[in-house]
Amino acid sequence: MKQDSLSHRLLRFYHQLASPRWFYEMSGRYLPWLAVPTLLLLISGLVWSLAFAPMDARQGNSYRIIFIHVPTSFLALLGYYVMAIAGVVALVWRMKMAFWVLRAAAPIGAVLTFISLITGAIWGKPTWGTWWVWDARITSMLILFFLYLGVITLQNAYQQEESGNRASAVLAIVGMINIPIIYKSVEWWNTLHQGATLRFVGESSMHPSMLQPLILMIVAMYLFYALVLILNLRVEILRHESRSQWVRDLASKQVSPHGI
Amino acid sequence: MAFESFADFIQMSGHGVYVWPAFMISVALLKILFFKPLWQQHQLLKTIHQQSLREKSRSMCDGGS
Repeated sequence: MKQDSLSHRLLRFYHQLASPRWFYEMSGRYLPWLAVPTLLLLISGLVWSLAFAPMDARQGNSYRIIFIHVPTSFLALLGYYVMAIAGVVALVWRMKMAFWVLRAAAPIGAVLTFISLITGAIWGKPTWGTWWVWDARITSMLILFFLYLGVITLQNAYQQEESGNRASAVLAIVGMINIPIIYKSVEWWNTLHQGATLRFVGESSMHPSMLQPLILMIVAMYLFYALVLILNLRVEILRHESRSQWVRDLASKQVSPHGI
Repeated sequence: MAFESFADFIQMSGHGVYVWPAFMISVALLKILFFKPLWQQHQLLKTIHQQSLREKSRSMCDGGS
């Protein structure tokens, strides 16, 4: 049948994604299946990296910070892509769910970038002998942090939420300029920051006994990002749809399950 | 285990003072990221429920008079 062609199905999926109620109910159903594996992977990854990964011959035990520093840095960057793409979708197709994704993603990205910066600083002390250098990689990550803060500030700076949403989407898109600078900073400038440890093609410079827990932590962090993004988006949906009947029904069912 | 004793695990041959705070700060922040939306959702649903109850009783009073 014509109705079941791929393009039709994709279009329907797009419309469903744009429907807050559909997303809320769908995500609610599958949330435990995401949350439980995510938390288990994250906890086992932390135990592995702290207690079982072998000591590094050159850096000693301080290198263990890599297991939290690299995954959070990855997601700090990916979070910016999520925000910029949501910004484009929101502005071009005027999709309100996309604006809410932007609102949900900004604080997560800010926290992850902060973790990346602070673990980097702590790692820097025993390795480079200083907490902070104005090095290209570190400075561009600091700019990323300020971009996230700027987006959050703009979202709340206007009396009309819509103006704030639009302004923050523009900032999120313009801020994409910073992303290739972050990636290339270790190649373009002479820097203290080490080059990429992980390579998708060719051999990584890391021993498997260290690479395995690192990959586990990266996978766990990807899942964790998806989990908290969905949780935040659900809050945004409830906040914006609080006057609609389905949310009221839901509220009365959750607050007093046996009815009043 | 990569360590010989528990004390060794805590000290990490001198690097424990860097590794442990780095992990503890990170885990604390990740915990906030996870629990904050759950708490917000709980509070929101409570407020929405109270508000709809208030409106319902108001409309019932209007209907009665």
